Amino acid sequence: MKQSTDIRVRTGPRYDQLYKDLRPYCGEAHAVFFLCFCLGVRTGRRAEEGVRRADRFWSGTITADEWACFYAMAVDQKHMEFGALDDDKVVVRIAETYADGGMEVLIDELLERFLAKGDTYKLDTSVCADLSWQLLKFIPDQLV
Amino acid sequence: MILEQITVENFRQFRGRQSLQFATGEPGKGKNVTVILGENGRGKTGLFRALMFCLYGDCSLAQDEDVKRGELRLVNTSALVDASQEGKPVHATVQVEFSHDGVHYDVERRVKALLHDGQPLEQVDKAELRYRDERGNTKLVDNPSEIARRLNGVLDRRVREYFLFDGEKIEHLTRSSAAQRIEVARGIRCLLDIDDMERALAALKKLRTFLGDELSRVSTGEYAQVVARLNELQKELDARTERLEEIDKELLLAEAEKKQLDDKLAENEGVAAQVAERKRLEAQRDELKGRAGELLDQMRDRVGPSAVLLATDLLERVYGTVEDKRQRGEIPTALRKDLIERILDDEVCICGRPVKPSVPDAFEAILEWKNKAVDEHIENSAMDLWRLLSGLLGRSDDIRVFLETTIQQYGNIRNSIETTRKSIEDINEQIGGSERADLSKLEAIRQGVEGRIVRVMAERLVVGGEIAERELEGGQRKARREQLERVEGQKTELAERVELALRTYEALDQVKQEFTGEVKTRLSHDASEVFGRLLDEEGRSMLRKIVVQDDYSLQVLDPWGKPFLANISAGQRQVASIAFILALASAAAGGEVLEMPLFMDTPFGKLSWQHRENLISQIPGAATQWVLLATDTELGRREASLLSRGGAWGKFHVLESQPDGSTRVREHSVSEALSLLRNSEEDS
Repeated sequence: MKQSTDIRVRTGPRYDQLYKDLRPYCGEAHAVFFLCFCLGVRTGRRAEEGVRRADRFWSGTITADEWACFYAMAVDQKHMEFGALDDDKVVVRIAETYADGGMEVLIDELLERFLAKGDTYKLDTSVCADLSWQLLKFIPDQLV
Repeated sequence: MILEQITVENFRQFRGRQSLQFATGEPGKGKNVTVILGENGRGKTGLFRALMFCLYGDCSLAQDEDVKRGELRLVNTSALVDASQEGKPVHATVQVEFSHDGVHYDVERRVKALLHDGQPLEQVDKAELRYRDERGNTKLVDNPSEIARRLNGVLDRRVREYFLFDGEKIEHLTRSSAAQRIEVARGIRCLLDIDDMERALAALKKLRTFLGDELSRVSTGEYAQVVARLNELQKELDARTERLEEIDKELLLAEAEKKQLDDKLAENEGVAAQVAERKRLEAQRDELKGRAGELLDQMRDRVGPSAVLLATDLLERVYGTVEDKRQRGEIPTALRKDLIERILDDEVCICGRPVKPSVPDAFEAILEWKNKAVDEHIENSAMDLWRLLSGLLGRSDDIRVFLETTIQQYGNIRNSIETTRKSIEDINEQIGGSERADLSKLEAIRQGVEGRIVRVMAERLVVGGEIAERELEGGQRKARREQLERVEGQKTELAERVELALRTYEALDQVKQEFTGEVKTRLSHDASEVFGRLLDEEGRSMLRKIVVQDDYSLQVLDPWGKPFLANISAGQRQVASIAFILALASAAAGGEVLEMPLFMDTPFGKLSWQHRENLISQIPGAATQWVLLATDTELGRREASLLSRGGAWGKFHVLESQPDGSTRVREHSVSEALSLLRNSEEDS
């Protein structure tokens, strides 16, 4: 559990613009990533491992609470084998699959109506005035 | 500057020649408080206007920006009318005496006025400054620019308005509007006196752009690409920062234009009530929007941390398993894996007995231990995870409560904004549908201005986002450039020189940023300290700190460091602003009491009794002079009694209405004040 600072955390390349666009409503990339990871965990939606992903942010920006959740998932995946805590890269790679899965859920269930028309995922900022509220509200809605 | 006396003659409400002395005692020891009591319209602000006119030649104040040029008169109207009947001009004169750094100054400025075809014409026709030098000789200065230069040295004209506080102005400082940002930024810039540095930076910026292009031209490979992108980003940032400044100015102008149109509409009895109601509703809407904006900022920062609730099942499962193992003593185990491995390698136990396959009992027992033992650092990691999960799960309820209350609070505000918007629209339709063509035309223009404001504010948001995006990318590219420089190891001599120039700009900019940052930190610290002293008990338990943010807006934090400005009362907003202004004054004086009078025009209206009590007991010791301009509903017997007990109240003047509509200044002893004042609302 070193909470390494030098790992490049990666996400699906098609979410590149969305991560940037969500900053004013959800904070830095690590916070968006964490929201998506938790959504992926909650819904059991997980993207494939080993597919090409684009560099998104350095692991140095991940908070201790976020790391705790990533470690918990890694341990859970390895059937409570604590050796999983020893390799931060593997921990991050597992988290990435859930984050990409969670992003799909987020788009399907919330962001769709905030997206600009086009082939890429991009927010239409003219309708996003209270997106932070919508995002926050989305969390308890998922718990029901 | 310590004000000693002001004399006004035929100036605004003051007919004839009248003088008013200020209390000049030493702060904390003598009597340095002057109270000027007057009903609205009696000339409290007129006295400040007289001061600004005399010291700086200002014929209008910042608050008059939406008053038409020529509409504002300095000369007493009835004196002007009387003089014109005799075919003579009339003079309005203001004379101010003050001392500064031990030198006595006497300034006099005069405006001449006459009625021409029923229209008043005013012209400043005299300005004189007298001061006594260190030898006691009196010197006369009558050159206006020399007067301006000398007086600017006493109180820089750019900061002068910080020493007049009217209720509205005070509140501006805690409103997240363009006007607020300009106001606070101006105060800080004046305080820092960084004009020269800003000029140097502007020149270097031009040089940097030119040299940056050069560097990109002479470089190759990825380095050239990174440098080119950095140049591009910098140009985009410069353009957007300039646009942001333009937008803030445009907003101020549009707001002023809207107010002018409202005033014109309000002149018509048929729609005056609707215009007033719309003004109230718009103020309410803006206030709600401000609170909504602050809540949105809080929510943005909480989306990520709150998402942990979604992973609660996972966390509880893992925590439960680790806890079970902990309860069973499996972690941390008392078995050292390295010790067991050594026993197996050496085939001898620490007690000396052999441990080998030929001694099956002992050997198998040790093997079983080995399987149970875990590497020490992995055990530590498991325990760390257990602690982290325990903390996270322990905070779940707090997160739930925060979500519930904040979501509900924002939802309510959102509904109120919608209701207010609909009411405003109804009024717009009523006024716009007026049968009078002039009114509907005015209303149409107003709608146009309103639309412009909405568009410009939306643009402001977009430009702000673009700046943040470019700053982020710029930081990443800079890091990459430095990495490439380290890896490549060498650059051409030209590139080195170009780079040096770029770094000079960055270094100077860094100095400015750090300096500004330090002052912001110091201001935040000092303002928080004063804030704590001025707040009432309830406020103290809820509010902890004032922060001057990067965009120069003010924020108030709760005891847990979370933004709380959206939730504080109007009175607390006033107190926060006063705390900021006092901190600014203290910083300008290098931590001492700034030798500058504080004028506070009707400051008590929205304050609770305890806030008033704190202001009355704190300000006399925190300012050289306190000139308090108040109505009798603000300053009642209770406040006066407290002020009197503090021992700093030295002068008491009442602005009395005369039969001809003018105002007479009458001085009373402080001991008479109680009999002249009314009971405070809370007493009666």
